[in-house]
Parts: sequence; structure tokens; C-alpha cells
Amino acid sequence: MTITMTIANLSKSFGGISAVEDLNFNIKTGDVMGIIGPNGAGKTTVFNLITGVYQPTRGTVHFKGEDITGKAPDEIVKMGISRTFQNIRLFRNLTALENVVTALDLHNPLYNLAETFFLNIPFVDNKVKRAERQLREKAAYYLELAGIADQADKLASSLPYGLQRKLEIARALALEPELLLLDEPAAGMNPEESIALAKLIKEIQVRLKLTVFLIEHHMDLVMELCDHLYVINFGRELAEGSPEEIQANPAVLKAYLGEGYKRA
Amino acid sequence: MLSFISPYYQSVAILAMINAVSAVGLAVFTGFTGLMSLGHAAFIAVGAYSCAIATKIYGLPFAVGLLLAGLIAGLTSLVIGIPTLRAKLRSDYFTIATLGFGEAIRVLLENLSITSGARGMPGLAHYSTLLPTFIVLALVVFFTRNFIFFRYGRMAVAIREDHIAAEMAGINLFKVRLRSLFFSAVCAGVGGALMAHHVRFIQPNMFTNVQSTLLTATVVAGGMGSITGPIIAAVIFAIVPEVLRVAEMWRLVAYGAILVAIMVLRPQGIMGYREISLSGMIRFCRRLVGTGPGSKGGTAP
Repeated sequence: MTITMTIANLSKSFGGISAVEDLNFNIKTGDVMGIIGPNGAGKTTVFNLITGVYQPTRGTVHFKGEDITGKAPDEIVKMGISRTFQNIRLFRNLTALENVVTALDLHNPLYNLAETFFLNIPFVDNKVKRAERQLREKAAYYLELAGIADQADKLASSLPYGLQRKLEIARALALEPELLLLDEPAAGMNPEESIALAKLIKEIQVRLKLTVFLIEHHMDLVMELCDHLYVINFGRELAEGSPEEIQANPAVLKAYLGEGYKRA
Repeated sequence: MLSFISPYYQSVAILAMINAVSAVGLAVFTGFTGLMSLGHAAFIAVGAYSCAIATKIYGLPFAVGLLLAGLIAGLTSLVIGIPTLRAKLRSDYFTIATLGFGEAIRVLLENLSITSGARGMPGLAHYSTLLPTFIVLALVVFFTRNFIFFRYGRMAVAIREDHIAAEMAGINLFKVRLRSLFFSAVCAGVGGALMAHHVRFIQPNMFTNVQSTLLTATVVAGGMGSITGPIIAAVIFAIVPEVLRVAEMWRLVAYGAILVAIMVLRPQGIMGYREISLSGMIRFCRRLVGTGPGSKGGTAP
């Protein structure tokens, strides 16, 4: 059993307020791991610390044995970690396909600056145009994976909310990650939609052999999808275990699920 | 050549094309990368002086002067770009910094001996005639298109759209923003060089913040995220004051009124996020005669 990510003593405070404190956990390779906790517990802060948006006050993040604490976001993405956002952040004035192509550029530098300036002559087939066609085909594959192939030419801003979330997933996949971080992928979805999304995420995870780390409030999706759960409350670790263990944990039930929660 | 066009019309056309060269450059920076500059007159000035000094004092050919103008203006942009963009200054903070930089360059030109200070440099050769100016504009548009609608421009557009998501897509904000600034400064420098050899006299007070502001207005009125939009706007803003010469002082009022009207009626600018492309026009013509597939004419390349 190999470990993809190790979080040790991770802490972050803003001014005098401690957002997360002394978090310790491992993400096993090939797992779908969930992090749950009430609103304001610090879940998104954990994502921001992993991806380099924030620098931790204390503690370390290791990815595949390498210390990535303090690295810039673009370097961390290159190493194989990509994410989606709770408050959707798409390139709104671009089409769905262009959103994905932009992400593909990272690992597919098919031509350089000089080539794009000097070789790329209009109405003449050239290396740049061939590369662009190749990228668009590849982008279409990722849209299909996320189940939105038919939306390729629509502007990202014109897509309904649920499809925008799927487009964010497609864009994150195009960054060819080993570890995919999903920040509330089912936000705003009804129970049937979130179960369908859980199936889709599972399918993608198996197909691309990904490790997934996700934040979610929909317990149906969490219980359906996750192999392992980490629970935080007020920025501190509350519990860790399999979904079954977490459901039976009295402290978790009290803090988060509400007393008397039963699996749907 | 082209002597059948009266010198007056030639002069208006040349001015329009020169404005377009600088406007296209700024469009890359403002319309595609999403940063506002109010100091681009500085790069125009550096280009104008570099080329004037190269041709008049060192007797170099105009083409070399143009290249030097672009290069030196580009290098000048790094002076302001590296510290501000590394600090990730954005929106109004960055804009204020460019404002200060533009003034600093102008004051510098007024006090250097090689630029003859405030007296300026008269008697420059008349190189920016219709054909050379057109060729330079065509090249600038060609390079801009190759830059902005493909891989490198895509990174810039991603930053304009959402800089956090762009960073999470592995895009280095500093590098890409600086690249756009450099490109736009090169264009502004080339525009300045053309201007110097069109007006044939340059002086630091030709390159004030008013010129920077007008250039930004041209890009915004032409449309963010468009190359052809700012070109159209540059042409309009060159022609309107000429057409309205009969109205004397009212022409400047009309100039402002047109700007207000564009922003009120079309806040996205004349061509916001759209282009007029050759292939788009061909599709449009086909649709008019009813032969081709009914596609949406006149959008992206």
C-alpha cells in the first residue's frame, strides 16, 4: 500500500485566528478520501494549503515522498495535483472546449514561442495548426469523460450550474493529475444528481487510476464514494476512519451529522 | 506610388495605421491579459526617440531603427514590469504604477542631452509613407494573431478570466503577464518610431498621459479581447477629428461624445470578444448568396 500524500502538523492562522491546527493524515494511493466537517471547519483552507494558495504557518505537506510545502501553485500543479473550486472559477468568456485546451497546454507543449510567431501562417497547414487540432481532440476526450461532450462550443458562462461543475472537473483532469482535489463537486445538486455525480467520479477515478481527495456536504455522495474519511471541526481533527466507522462515531454524529442520522 | 491619393488623405490614413499599431499592442495587454496601463505613451516615446536617434544621429536605415525602437521599448517595459508584476500588483494598483512610470520617462526625455531635452528633435526623414506603414501594421497584426490566438495567448486570456484558476492550471502569472507587457511595449515602440518619421518632429510633451489615456480609450472602445475592434476604433478616432474640422472646437467635444456613446450603447466595445476574420467574411459572404453552410460569420479565427 503506497501513500500519495502525507499531511503532518498542518496549521494555518490568519492574524490571531487559527483556521486549521495540527492536522495529520495520509491519503493512500488509489483511494477516494473525503474530508468532512461543518461550515467553517477549515476544509477549503486545507485545499488551499495543499495547492499553495496559502503558505502554512506550521507543518508540512509531502506528495509522493517529496516536500511540497511552500511551493508556488503552478509548480504544484506540474507535479500532479489539480483541483476544482467551491465557488466555480471557470474561464467564463471561453467555450467549454477552450477551457479544457488551456489546461492541456501544461503537459502538452507541442510548439514553442518562435514557432507560433514565425511558422504559423494563415491558410497554410503548419505545425502549430496541427498541434492545435490535436489539442482540441484531446480536450474533447476530457469533456466526454466528464459527460459534457455536447457542450463543447458553448461559452462556459452560459452553462447551467451543474454542468459548470462538470466542466471544472474536465479542466482539472486535463492537467493530467495523479491526485485530484474536488471542492464540493455536488454543491447545489439534488440527491439524485449527486448520486449520479458520485458514479461519474468513481468511473473517472477507476479509468484514469486517480487518487481523489474531496470536500463534500452531501452525505449520500460521501458514503457512496469515499473509502476513507477525515473529519474536522473548528480546524481540528475530530475523527478518522471508514465511512461506516464515521457514521457510528458519537462525536461526529454530535458535531456534524446531527443526532439520529441514518443512511438514506 | 499611390500618388493619386492626395497627400492629405494619405496623412490621415498613415495616422490611423500608426494608432492601430500601438492600439493592437495595448489590446494584447489590456484586452487579452486583463491589466490596464496608463503609461503606454512612455513606450511610444522611447520607440520614437530610439528610432529618431538611430536614423538621424547614427544614420542607420529605417528598418533597423524600427527594430531598435521595438527592442528598446520592450526592454524599458521590463523596468516597470519586473518589480510590479513580480509583486503581483493588479488592477488599480498596477495602473497607478504605470501612470507614474509614464511621467518619469517623459521627464527623463526632457532632461537627457541625446534627446535634445524639451526642444525636441526636428528635421526627421519622412520614412513613414503609406506603403511602409501598411507593411508594418500588417506584420504587427500577423504576429499579434499568432501570439494571442494560440498557446501563449491562451495563458494570458486565462489570467484575464480568472487569475487564481489560471495559476491552478499551472500558469506562471508573472511570466505570462510580463510577456504580454513586453509584446505590447514592442508594438508601442514601433508605433512611436512610425510616428516620429511621419510627423518628422518629436518633443517630450507629445507623449503625455493624455496620449496614454487616448490609447487605452481606443482599446476599450474597440472591445476587450479583440484585435480587429481596436483597429476599427483607431481608424475612427483618427478620421473623426479630420471629418469634423469644419466644426472647429466642437470636434474635440464630438470625440468625447463618441466615446461616451460607445460605452453606453455597447459597454463591451465595438467588437468585444469578437473578431472580423478573413475566413469569417468568406463564410458571411457565402451565407449571403446562400451557398455555404449557415455558420455564424465574423467570429473568432
